[in-house]
Amino acid sequence: MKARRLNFDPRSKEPFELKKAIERLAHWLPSQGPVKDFIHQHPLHGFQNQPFEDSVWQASRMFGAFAYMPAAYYQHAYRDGRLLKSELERIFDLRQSPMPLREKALRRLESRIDEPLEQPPKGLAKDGLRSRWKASEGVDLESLVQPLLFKLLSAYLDQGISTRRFPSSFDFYEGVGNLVRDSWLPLAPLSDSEIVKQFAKPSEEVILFCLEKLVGDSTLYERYLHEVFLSHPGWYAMVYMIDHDPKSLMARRQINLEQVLAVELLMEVGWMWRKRGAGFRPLGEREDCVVSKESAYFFIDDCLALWHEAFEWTHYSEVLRALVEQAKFPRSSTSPVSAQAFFCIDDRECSIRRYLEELDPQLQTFGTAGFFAIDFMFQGLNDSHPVKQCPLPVTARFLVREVLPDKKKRRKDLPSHRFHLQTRATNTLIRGWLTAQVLGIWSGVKLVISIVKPSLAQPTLSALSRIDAYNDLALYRKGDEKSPEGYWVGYSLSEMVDRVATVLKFNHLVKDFAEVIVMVAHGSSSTNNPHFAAYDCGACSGRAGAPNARAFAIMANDPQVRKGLSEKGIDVPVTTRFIGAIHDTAREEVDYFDVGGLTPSQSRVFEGFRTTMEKALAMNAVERCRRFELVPEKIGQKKALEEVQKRSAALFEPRPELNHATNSLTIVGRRPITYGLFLDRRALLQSYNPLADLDGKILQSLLGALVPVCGGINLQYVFSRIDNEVYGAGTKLPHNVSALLGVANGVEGDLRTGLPAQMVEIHDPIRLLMVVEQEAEIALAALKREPALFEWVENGWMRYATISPSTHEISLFFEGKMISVDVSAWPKPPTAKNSAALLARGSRNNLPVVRLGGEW
Amino acid sequence: MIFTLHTLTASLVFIPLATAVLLFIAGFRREKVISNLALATTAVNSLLTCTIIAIWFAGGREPLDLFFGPLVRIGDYHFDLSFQIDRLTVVFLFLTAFISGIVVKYSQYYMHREPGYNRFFVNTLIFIGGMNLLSLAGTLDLLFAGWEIVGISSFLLIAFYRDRLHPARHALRTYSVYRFCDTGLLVGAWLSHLVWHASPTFSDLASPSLQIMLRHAGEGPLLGLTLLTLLAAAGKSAQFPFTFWIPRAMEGPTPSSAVFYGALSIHAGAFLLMRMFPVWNASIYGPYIVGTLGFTTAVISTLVGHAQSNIKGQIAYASSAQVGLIFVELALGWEGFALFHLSGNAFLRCFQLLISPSIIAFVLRWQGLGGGGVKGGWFSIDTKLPRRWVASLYVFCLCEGYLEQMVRTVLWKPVCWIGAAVGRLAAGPGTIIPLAVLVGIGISVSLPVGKEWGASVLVALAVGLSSGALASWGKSSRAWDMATLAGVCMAGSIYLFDHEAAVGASLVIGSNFVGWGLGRWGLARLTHRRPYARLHNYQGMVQWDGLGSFLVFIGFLIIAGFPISPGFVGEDLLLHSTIRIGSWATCLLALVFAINGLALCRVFVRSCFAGSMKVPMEWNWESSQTQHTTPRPFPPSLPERARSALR
Repeated sequence: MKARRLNFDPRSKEPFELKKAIERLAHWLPSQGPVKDFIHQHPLHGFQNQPFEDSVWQASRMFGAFAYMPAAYYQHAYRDGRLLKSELERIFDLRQSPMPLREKALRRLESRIDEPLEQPPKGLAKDGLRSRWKASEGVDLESLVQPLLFKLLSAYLDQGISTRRFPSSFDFYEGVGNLVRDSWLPLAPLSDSEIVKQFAKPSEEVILFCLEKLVGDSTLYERYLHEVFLSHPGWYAMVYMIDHDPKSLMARRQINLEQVLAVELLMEVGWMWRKRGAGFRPLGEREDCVVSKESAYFFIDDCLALWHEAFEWTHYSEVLRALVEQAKFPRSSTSPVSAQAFFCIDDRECSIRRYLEELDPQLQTFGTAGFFAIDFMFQGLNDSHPVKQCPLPVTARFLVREVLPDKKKRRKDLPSHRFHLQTRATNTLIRGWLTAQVLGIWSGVKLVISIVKPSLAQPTLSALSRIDAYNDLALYRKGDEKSPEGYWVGYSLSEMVDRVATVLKFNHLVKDFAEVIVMVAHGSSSTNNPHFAAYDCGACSGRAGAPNARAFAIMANDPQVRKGLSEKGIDVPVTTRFIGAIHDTAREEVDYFDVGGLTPSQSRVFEGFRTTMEKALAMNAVERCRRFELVPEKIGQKKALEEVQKRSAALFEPRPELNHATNSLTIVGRRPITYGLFLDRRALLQSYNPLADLDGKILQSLLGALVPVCGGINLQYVFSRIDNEVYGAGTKLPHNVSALLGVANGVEGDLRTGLPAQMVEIHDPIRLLMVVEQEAEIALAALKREPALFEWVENGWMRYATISPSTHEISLFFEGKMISVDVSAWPKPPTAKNSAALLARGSRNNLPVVRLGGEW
Repeated sequence: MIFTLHTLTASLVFIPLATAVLLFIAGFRREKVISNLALATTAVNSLLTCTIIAIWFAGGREPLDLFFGPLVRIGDYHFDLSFQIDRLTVVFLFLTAFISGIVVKYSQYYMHREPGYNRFFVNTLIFIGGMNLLSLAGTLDLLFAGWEIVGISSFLLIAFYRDRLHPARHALRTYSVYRFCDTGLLVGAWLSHLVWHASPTFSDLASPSLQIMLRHAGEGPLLGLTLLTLLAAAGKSAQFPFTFWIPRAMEGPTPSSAVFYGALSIHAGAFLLMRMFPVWNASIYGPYIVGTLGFTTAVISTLVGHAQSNIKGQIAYASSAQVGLIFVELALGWEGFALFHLSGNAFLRCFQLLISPSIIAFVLRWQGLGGGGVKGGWFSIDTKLPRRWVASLYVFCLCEGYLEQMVRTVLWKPVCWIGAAVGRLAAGPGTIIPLAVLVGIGISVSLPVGKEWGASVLVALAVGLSSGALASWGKSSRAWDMATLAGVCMAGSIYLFDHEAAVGASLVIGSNFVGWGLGRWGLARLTHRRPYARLHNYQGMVQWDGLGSFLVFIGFLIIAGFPISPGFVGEDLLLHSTIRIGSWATCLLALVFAINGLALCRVFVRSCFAGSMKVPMEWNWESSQTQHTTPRPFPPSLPERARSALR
């Protein structure tokens, strides 16, 4: 333990400027917008320009969160062999830890008694300036202000739950102002005459006015606002995200942080006036409020960082050792190739690729970001507005709509939708009275059915961008057509060629084309799950990637595009056919699009692929089932498929699938280094040929998407796991959907950000290790060219290692340079005959990295 | 035949409660064992229910009376154990068996890996037992027992996430409404003693002789009975003016919200009204009052529900509005239709709550299918109304009809005001000594003056002490003492009035003493760890001392006269005695009963729930079954350690 001072000086040195202060403080807010497009984000993005280790402790003080897992967690890991002494000693040497620290770290770890849990500091929101209101004035401002503020926010932003709308078309601040001015009935305390008057002023002036009343000392203003933000970060984050991306709402609203702050502070002043009269003393004038010196200090358990790193390295070392073996004795699919398949880099596709290759040695698979370079906004036939179908860092400039083929009727709503609709209607008085009886009895029957035999006919309501295989995509741009929102409608020919060429080049598929190339996107079905978007493809901004796969196949099959490709030096033979497909990672089902008109030979290959895929899906289901505790350890393929399909449809299942849980690796390289390697669904695999990229340009553009997407996923899991109450959304079970934007606990809680407990409970918080198959200098140079990406690695938010394609040497980024790592000290990876043989040993925990295919 | 029915019905109440106790004591760790036991119990419950229904049908669907014999018989007072089976019972038994069966099955998977898995099923089973007792009860006293059991299990499930602030606070709020409205039943029972000079069974209520007695009693007592019944029903069924608690009760896991506030518990009020139908229907004003209350609720809840922008709140208000309509139907005398409506509403709301998490996906799809709703425009049915009307109406909805403020101002504030005054008076050194001295002086002064005076002083003391306990912000043990003493004072005063109340008074005083001891033991464990614990902060003892919290909880139940303590019968006996004293004593007794229970519950919630200590997620689930690390509390010592380190 050592005391460390954190630069949380409550008083700011500079003169207070509202706009700048708000902009600065907004950095500490979690970045989570509407839950319908859940995008994995780095929860501590405000700290990203600082080293990991300092940041977690500072965040711990700021948010009142745990910095690492509890000490006992590492003790357990040590006993189970998931944290090795040898790794810990290596970390000591690497960090040049002083001797007493080494001894202490080892002694505590080896102790047979579990260490009791150390409480984290309380967090600024609970232990700062504002806590004085309750402690010395006896006014619990938060519980007075927040219920009404949340009600106002949720009512104003509501996207379709309430039937009576907020009666104003102005921005939030003006709307609330008009409401309290117009209403004859009181809305305490906003309707107090002194407070109503304030609404005539612009929001900035009101904030300053309130701060003067509440705080009085301008050096403390920023700190006060910071604590206001931290007291309910969920709603503030939502407001900030909506302000920055108004398109994320279906019904647009004008709101920003200033407006909400103005209303909240007005309420605080109003309550103080009500409770303590107009003459109450502002915080800045009280002796007891000045944040004491001690609270800027707190204790850092310096062993935790060491243990955590050793814990991570125990896993990394297995992986790196295995990769060296793989590189030295490479294996790959045997030629001639039967079929080729592109998958998303997603860790959930890691195992299905392994099974496909095990079943058909001639099958070749690639991993590429699941949007297949098709950067568009997609509007399905039944969608009210277009949604973004490409990763966060990519800006979508194109719009593609789903259209009806001739003479087809628009599909009517499914019976389950109709039922949901009717039950919603019963929330009104008269209709409710008329229908509650009959519908009530009917819902009793439905309840029984849904419990006894869950199936998708239950109110499983598919989300946006599910695609109907029989409709057409309006993919080709006519002239220079632009949509009202300013998107290009469809792609021009050269733009199509570019996109197809990008994917093929990045994956280095420029010759030896198979007759059938399947582009497998992925999505995930779930029922009764507000976080459904978090289960879909991260590279498609939390949507299923079906439109992308389909669009890619259509483009790549176009003869004119093929011509354009051959001009770029990629000769796709006429006999080759691209087929779009979607893999439902929850249900283990694959749908194929546009499979009409195959030649007999293509058809034969495709049928072969389809059969192999069916088998692979069943085996994959078995592998996934071992993680579900309620499923028996030994389970047959048919039972396993039934189980995962039941899960996706069951109302009572908070774990339709485990999503990215246990993710820890990104491997960028040729398939041979991961071929036949059992990575336990922990790796995101990107295909990349180092030999075709000597200047690192391709790598640079790959990293541009990989680092923020994979890093965001990984860190969100890590932090949601370390402190599920602060960084995560807590348990899912009491969640209540609020305003259709997010979930809250009960009706008066703040919006919850991050991942619910059910998604992260089996996750080991390990930072992402990105391994690139490339020479160290080239890889480092490629990374350094993008300072925003380099920040991730430089500050330790992810690990960056390379494996040289020529010497098979491992290099690791450490303190600004790549250092060579000696892998010979680590034991060789164990081997197994195949995945099934390995899994037959039975375990629910993480398995080590294993080389499959018998002894080597 | 009758013998079998006796056993069947008794086991219907006994088996769920016994399984709950078994689960709690055994403290099984393995989920399978817990949920299978619970599931087996619900299966047995359903089987028994079906058998009973079948027998009832076979017997020509006539109301059946099952008399088990008196539990207590003192003088003209007797507490009978008697059950009644008629159409109403059968419908409620069926609903309970069906919905609880489904929800237990649902929760078997839904609650997987949730800390408190066992607790959830224990509470649900207690609820099932209470609900069965409520439906079967043949007398008002027995119904009250079931009523209390349902109330307490509801309280515990709202506070299921007990280390969080909002669940703890809202559980207390709900309990305070329940507790206040329970006085309706208590005084109602007393009033029925007054009218019939006995505690009649429900089947007797409609008999001609009792109806004649009812008419003889005059409109006054009849109206009183109607209002009291309605008070109890309105509290439980979230009717005007108590509607505000129901959305706030949605803090537990979704299935528990579905079973309580969607399906069963919310209809208990309507059940009570149907049971007491012959009584309030005999009054000229009765149907009008019930109908008006139901209609008012229906209108307000619908208005407020429409402006709710969260899904569970919306369903809660919709459900409350429909129960309002059921009240109206009852007032019109459509009992059969009301029963049908009630069952439909129960299934529907239960289902709606269970599927509420899918609302986002649903609305997205629905809008795409041209279902209207949000399309970017500002759709409102109010466009024709003038602007100020719209705004006022919206503010009315946003403030949920000002019901909470109203109830607070009328009921809560005066008690707090008295309490604060008492608190100032009694603020001396030590805790129990000045209070005991005060009580002693009260008695010694009063004895020579005359028993009426003495008793009056004691009653005043009781009211003062209990409100003092409720408004106390200081040490929890002090509030505990005050509340206990208030109960003792109350019993003592009634004894002074009427020496025949000796048995009742000694039962109450005895159980108060036991409960006090248990509670003080638990609270001592709290102050041992946190010497500066005060009621103005939530202490969260349950996080590090389960036994201590349990002791406080049991102490609270015993003093508050929960049906596990002899105090339950004692209170009833005392009430019986007040017939000879006067209605003012009854009202005060009921008031003290309500405030006291509330004060004790508040002490329990504030010292045991919503702690500031953080507990991380469990890891390595299987092994954590055996090696559980208990968190160590040390928040106050941080700055001190910092100081010493800096030196």
